[in-house]
Parts: sequence; structure tokens; C-alpha cells
Amino acid sequence: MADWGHGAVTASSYAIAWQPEATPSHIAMACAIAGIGWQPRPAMTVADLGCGRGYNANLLAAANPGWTVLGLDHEPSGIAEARQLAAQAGLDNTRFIEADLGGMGLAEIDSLPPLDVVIIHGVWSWVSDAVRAGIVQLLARRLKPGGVAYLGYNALPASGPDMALQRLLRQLAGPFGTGAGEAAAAAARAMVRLRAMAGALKLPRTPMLARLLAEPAVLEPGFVAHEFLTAHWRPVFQADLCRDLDAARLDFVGSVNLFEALPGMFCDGEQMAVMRRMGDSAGQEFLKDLCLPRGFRADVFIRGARRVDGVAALHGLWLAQVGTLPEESPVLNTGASRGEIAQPLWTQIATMLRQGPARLGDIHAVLGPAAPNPTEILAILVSTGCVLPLFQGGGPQVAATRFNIAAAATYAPHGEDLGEAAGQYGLATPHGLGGLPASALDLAIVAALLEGEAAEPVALAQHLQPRLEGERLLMAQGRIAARLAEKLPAWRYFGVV
Amino acid sequence: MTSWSHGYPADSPYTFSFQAAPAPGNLALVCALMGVEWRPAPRMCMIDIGCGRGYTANTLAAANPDWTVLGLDYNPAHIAEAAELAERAQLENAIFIEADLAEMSDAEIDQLPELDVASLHGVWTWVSDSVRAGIVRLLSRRLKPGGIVYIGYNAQPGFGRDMGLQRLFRHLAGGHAGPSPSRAQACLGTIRELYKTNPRNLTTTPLLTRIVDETDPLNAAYLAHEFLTDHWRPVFFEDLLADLAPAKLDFVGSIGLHENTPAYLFSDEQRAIYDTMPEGVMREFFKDICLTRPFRRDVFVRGLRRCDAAAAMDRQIIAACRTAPEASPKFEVPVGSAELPEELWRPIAAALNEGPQSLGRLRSLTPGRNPTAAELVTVLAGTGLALPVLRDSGPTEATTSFNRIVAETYANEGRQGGQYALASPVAAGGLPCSWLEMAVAVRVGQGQSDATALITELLPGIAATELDAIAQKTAALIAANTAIWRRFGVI
Repeated sequence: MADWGHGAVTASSYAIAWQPEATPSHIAMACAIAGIGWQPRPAMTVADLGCGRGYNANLLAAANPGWTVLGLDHEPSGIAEARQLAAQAGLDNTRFIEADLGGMGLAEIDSLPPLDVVIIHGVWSWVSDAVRAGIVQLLARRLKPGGVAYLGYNALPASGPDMALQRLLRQLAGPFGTGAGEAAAAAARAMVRLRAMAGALKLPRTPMLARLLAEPAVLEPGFVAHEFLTAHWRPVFQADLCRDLDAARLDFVGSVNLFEALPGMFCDGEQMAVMRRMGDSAGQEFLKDLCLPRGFRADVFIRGARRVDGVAALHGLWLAQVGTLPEESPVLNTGASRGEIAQPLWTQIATMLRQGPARLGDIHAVLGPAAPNPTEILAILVSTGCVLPLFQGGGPQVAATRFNIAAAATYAPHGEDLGEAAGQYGLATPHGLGGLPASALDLAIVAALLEGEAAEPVALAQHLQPRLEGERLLMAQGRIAARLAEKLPAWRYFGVV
Repeated sequence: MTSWSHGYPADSPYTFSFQAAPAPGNLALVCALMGVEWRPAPRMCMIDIGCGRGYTANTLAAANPDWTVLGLDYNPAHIAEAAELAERAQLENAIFIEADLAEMSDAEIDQLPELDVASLHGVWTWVSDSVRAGIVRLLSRRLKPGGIVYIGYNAQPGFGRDMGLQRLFRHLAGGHAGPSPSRAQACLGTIRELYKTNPRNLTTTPLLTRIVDETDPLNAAYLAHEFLTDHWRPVFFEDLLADLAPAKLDFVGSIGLHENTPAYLFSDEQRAIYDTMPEGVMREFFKDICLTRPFRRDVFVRGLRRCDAAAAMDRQIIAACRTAPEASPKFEVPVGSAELPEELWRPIAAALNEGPQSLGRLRSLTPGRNPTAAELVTVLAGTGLALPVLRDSGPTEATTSFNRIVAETYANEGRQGGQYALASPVAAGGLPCSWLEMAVAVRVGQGQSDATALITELLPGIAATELDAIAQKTAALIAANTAIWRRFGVI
């Protein structure tokens, strides 16, 4: 194992995964729900700590030419790839730094600009105490007063049952070196051995165990290596994370799972009675962690919370549809319950949004006295993937366009063979200040449109895969037609095309 | 909560209980079973780190006048009580020190004598990282080469299943005022209500089942110490071993004797996997996932030297602390139970009822079919029928006065639980007993033999209707145990 990795797995690249919640626009929604004053500004500095291959940092930079986006990672291959994509997209507002957060000196930390937003996704529960201390120090010294932080991490008690599984995989993998692919090979070895012995062991039947044992395999060894072969992986209680972040004077705002602000959506009457007895937010968050099945938490923190009129902030949010809205009221699965808006109310909401972007306050007003709480409307609409917040109007902007074309050229040159759901990418959306979730095929279609191709399946199929013919060509055209019908309006609302 | 306690509840004394595990006779038995060279010396220095109210340390000091026994604790109330008990029993070889291991300097640590034996019971998984670092510094600076360490702790993944429950206690207790036992008590109602709603991540463990059972309430002081601490976290064996590396400790085996014998632990399928694994961390981890034991009680040595396990086991001497029964005792193990067939058991029982025996002699009583030493100790020591003994002795001044003072002072606590032991020069430790047994043994040692008179004195408020029944039981106890108390040098 490479020493500079501090026991983290190196030389095995993470798959690209766009995280819509790990963005300033999503943070703004969580703040509005919590009644805390914070909004993205036209000029900001955003840092992504543990940026991996830098896709998300580059996307944010492309969508927001007024922002400066820093990406830090300990892995040189990720930083090199991130810089390459930035260069291809012609982005001059990104900075990628190969840095060891566990060993950064104060002078090095202080050479970073003051930060408005810090995003730390999938890092905290995977790194050593020294790296955690480095993160806190960075936040303490560089996050501005009033700045916000996002932390996504494995949380207890839900991920507790996976702790033994992780140790077992590490034992079964045995020692491995730093060469390319060695960690993935060790993970593959461990998975084979795990499969052979799982039946004889009394391991808790967690979703992760089921995924590891699935036949045919659903997990890439490279993913398993990153997830499980690190020396430091340990899920944490939310209260302990809050305590550790105290040193950076961070206050807890709320979960990025917007519905969690309304515990009545997933706790029964008795549980709510206990919730009211919890003296503080730490106790209430703990009770949520006890009731919800999610082993991954993502929380928003702020350095210096200012209370504002949350209702006004919520009512002021503009929302636009990100795909075709269903006729039937969409169901939000909280893991412990199902949240949905009554069908007649949903029909009204969908009708409004199909006509174009709308303010949450206006949606709420139209529904009349039966309207659910605006937080509930927002949580259901966002969590079911129906809408995203919209911050400005107008047409496509050059940086986002160049990024979307470069991303497609790099990661989906042929629409990834026109598969439907391959890849978890994002399209830079200047009007959403972030990205729209996109498959590889979506990326390729958008790039073709931006390069002047007509929004028409036959022409697009020819453009993307000129050699297809016969039945396969017809299938490709069909898939492209379906994507256009589903996504084109949203791409327009959000200024992608 | 007081700040000097580093987040550990200091406002209530820990339960008064004797821990048998660190008695050097037990440690010697584990070492012999595992083929590791270690023997108690005539003169030794022991330390009990986190000694609580000092009962175990004082018992060991009383039973072993030539050993020095140190007790360390952060809580002045604990140390004051322990030192007072030592003074009243005139135990000059018991020394109690109030110490904060997180803040003890190297110079302070170096003022301690060099140590042969260290015991850490229920400490490691309850204290902060800085206290853990202090413990490791102490062991690395003061434990002699060849010195032995017992550590009892909450283990992952077994106790990990209760991590949510512990946090629930802490969050709920935060809403209550008052001393920690009453705060712990106040949480119980809410936990029972919540349990009925079946929250997704509140795992039903034996502990939770115990807590929600209203018919058999857990001791509130125990709950407070178990749950209202800031730092409680069970650990994986491999992490403990890694943390202990600066003290150069090697793993010997488990105090739970049967846990050292794979035949008692695994199904055939599990055993086949176990056999492919290298010795050490991986096998111990495999045991932890198969046994899901919440506690581990491990023995470590500074500088492991191998010896012939069979010869070492044959040298160990044990004595029965009850009358050996007609049929072999059964010890429940993860795969079935350990017991001896009748033809093997009968001569062993007879020999044990005569007096202390070496394991070698007990094994040779049935020519042609000898039980293994592992079988024998699991059946005898695992069930608590027999204890290792280190010497032949009558009662000493120290044990006599110590047992008398404990019986007089702590009888009331005993009625509410607590684990007692009669200091025994023969066992070089304690003979486990109830508080009433202890009081009776002390009186018998003073020459009293009339059960009715004895009970009237011990339980002055007893109803006349109950007196006869209890006196009869006491007479039976005296008849059965007098020989055993003599065997262990208690009277």
C-alpha cells in the first residue's frame, strides 16, 4: 500500500458519479428549509476536498464562470485527469491541487483562498484521524464566516453491521502493493473468497453483503477496493462528526435528504413523542439515524448560522422539471415510509410545472388550504427527481457548453454505445448553478445538439454511430427519441442547449 | 458530569465486584494451555489499571502477602475507599494511586515499580484516546520483559450491535438532571416505548432484551457506567493489538478457556475455513464473527516464549470449590456442550473431593482413555467447579482480617447484587461466593457453628417464620463447605 495514501487505496480509479446533492444549489435548499440564511452568490470560491477525478468540480466551474472551484485530492492520477478535462473545456476558473490533507502545513493551508463552500463527499469515514484533523484545520482556517460545508459519510448505527464485513474483506484480500490494478485484484480475490465462505458465517445480511454476493457480480472490484480495502474506514455517529467540526465553528444545518427535516414523514406517533423529548438537534438527528435505513448521511453545516424567515426563502425558490413529469403522484421512499402528495394536488402541480418553471410559493398558493407544507412539496419533488431549483434564465453559456462537449468527447464519445442508463454523469447547467443528472447517452446527445445537430433521432443516431444499420439502428433511434422526449424541455429550461 | 473524569461518570461508585480473570493462577492456566512460558513468581508486582473500588486488588494483596499490588483509578472516591479498606485490613502491600493516565508524565509513570502483571478490566473501551495512549505508555515503560497483561473489553462486532443503544441512552439522559444512575434509570421508560415501535437500526441484542424486560431491572449504577460515558466504543481485536504495539505485547489466548479450543467453537464448515487461515489476527477475527461475543478477555505477554503445552498443563494444580457432583458438569459451548463420560468422570470427581490435584494426575486416572487437558479444564474451570491453586497454606492474618472486614462492611451492598470472593492464600486470589456465604464463612472461621444463632446475628430483622428455613439452608451450607473453605485456606 502506498505510504502517501495513508492507508487509503491508491492506483485504482473511482467511477465518475455526479452528486446533485453535493452542490451549492442543493445546499441552498437545505438552508432554506432549516430557516438559515445562505444563498449562492455570483462570485464565490468553492473547494471539493477529495475531488477524485475532478468531474464534479469541473462541472461546477463550467456552470458558474463567476466562481473559482478548487479540487484537492491525494491521488495524482485523479488530479492529472481533472486538469486535462479542465483544459479541454477551456476552464480558467478551476485549480486542482495534489495535496495530502493529513500532512498539509499551516502555510500550505493558508495559501488557499478564503472559501465560501467546501464539499467533502465520501471522505470523512474513509480517512485516518490525521486526515480528519487536516480537514478540520482547513475548515477552521479557510472557511469564511457564513460559509457552508457539505459532508457525506457513512453513518452509525445503520452502517454498523458492515463494519465486520469490511474487516473480513480486508483480511481476505491480504496485503497488496501500490501498482496499477493491485488493489482491484486484491478486492477481486477477497470477493471470491467471501463468496466461498459467506454461507458458513453469521454475517448480518446487509444490503452491501447482498451486493457483494450477487450473481452475476454487480460491484466492480475497483469500487470494492475503494470502499472497503482502506485501512481507516469507520462509520461515525452524526453527533461525533458535529463535535469534531466544533473546532471549525460549524453549526449543523440539516440533511441533504430534504424530507428529513420533517420527521413526521417517517416516524410514527410514538417515535415522534420520543423525538419531542430529545433535548437538542443531536438527539433528534440520532433518532432519525435510528429509524432510517440509510447507512450514508450527507449533512450541511454553516460557519455561523443566521436565522431567517425560512418560509419566505422557500417560497422564493424557482423550480423547473428535469424530466417528463408522471401522471401519477410520485412516491418518495424514505426507507421507513412512503411520502406522496394527494393525486388531485399532484395533478395541479404537474400541470403548472409542465407550462414552465414556477416559484414554490406560487405552487403552494395554487393548491389552496389542502396544500402540504412547502418543505414537504419540495422534498418530494426534488427527491423523486422531478425538479431542480433554477436560479436564472437565458440561453446556453459558453463555459457550460464547452464543458458538456468536452465531457461527452472524453467519457461518452459514442454515447457509450447508446446504452440507456450507463454512467452517472452530469450536464453543466448555468441556470441551475450545477448539473442535471445524465447518462452517457444524454451527454453524447447534448454534445451533438451543441455542435449543431438537429434535435431529431435519425440525424443524431447517424451522428453518434454512423456504422449502425438495420434493427440496431432502429433501436438506437428509438432510444434517442425517448431521451429527447424525456429530457429536452429540461435541457432548455436549465440552459444546457 | 465532572470535567476531570474525561467524560466518564464519576458521580456514582462502580459496583463492588470481584474480577476473577486477572488472578495469576488463571493467567498461568491460559499460558500453559496455549504453550506459552509464564509462571507466577513468589515475589511479584501487579497493577490493576482502573481498579474501581479496589476490591479485586485488595483481595489479591490479602491473598499474596509477598506480592505488591497497585491499584490505579482516576476517581478519588474509588481510591479513598480502596485505600481505607486496605488500611483497615492492614494490607501494607496494597497501594492505591489516584492517577489520570491521560496526563501522567513519563517521569511520573517511571516512579511506578517495574510490573510483572497488569490487569485492565472494563477500561479500554470506555476511555478517551488520550487515556488509551497513557495506558500504552505505562505498559511500554513499566511492564517487565516476560510480563503478562489481562485486558477485558467490549469487542467488535459482537458489542457493536449495541452501539446504537448506548447512544440512545446518552441522548435521552442529556434531557434529565441529577446523578447519573437516576438519569440512566429515567431513560428506561422511553427506551421501552421506542423499542415497541421497532426502529430499523435498534438491533435486538441480549442487552436490549434485558433492558426492555421490566420484570428483572438492571442495576442503575451499572447502566450509568456502561452507557453514560462519552467515549465508550467497542474495538476490533486487531485494532487493540495494533495500539498495544509500543508495549511489545504478543497475544497469548483467551481467559475463557474453551475459546482457545476450535473444536468447541465452530461448525464443520466454519472449522474448514478456520484451518486455512494463518494464526493470529485473522483467526481471532474469524472467532469474533462466528461467536459474536460481546466481550473479549485476552491475555498478552511482553515477549512470547513457547513451551511444551502438554507438560505445562500437567503441572497445573486445581482444586474444587464445590463438592464434585456425581455426574460430569456440562459446559455449554457454541457447538454443543463440553462434558466427560461417566467412566472418566467418576475417578476425577473422587480425586477432586480429596483435595487439590495436578491436571497431570487427573488425566492419568483412567488408563487407556485420558481426557485432554483442554477438555478437562473446560469442564472443571469453565463451569466454575474448580480453580487453579498456587500454594498449600492455612488462613493467614491478612486473609482472615480482610474477609472479616469485607463481610462486615459490604453486607448491605451484597444484598443488592455484587460479586464477592473470599481471599484465599491457596488460590492466590479469591474464592467466588455470595455475600451471605462470605459472612457465614467468616463466622465459622471464628468458631461459630450454630446456624440459627449465626443467622439471627447476621439478619437481625428476619421474621420468625422465615428463620427456620434459612437456618436449615445455612446449616447445609456449613456442612458442605467447611472442608472446602479449609482446602482454600479461608478458615
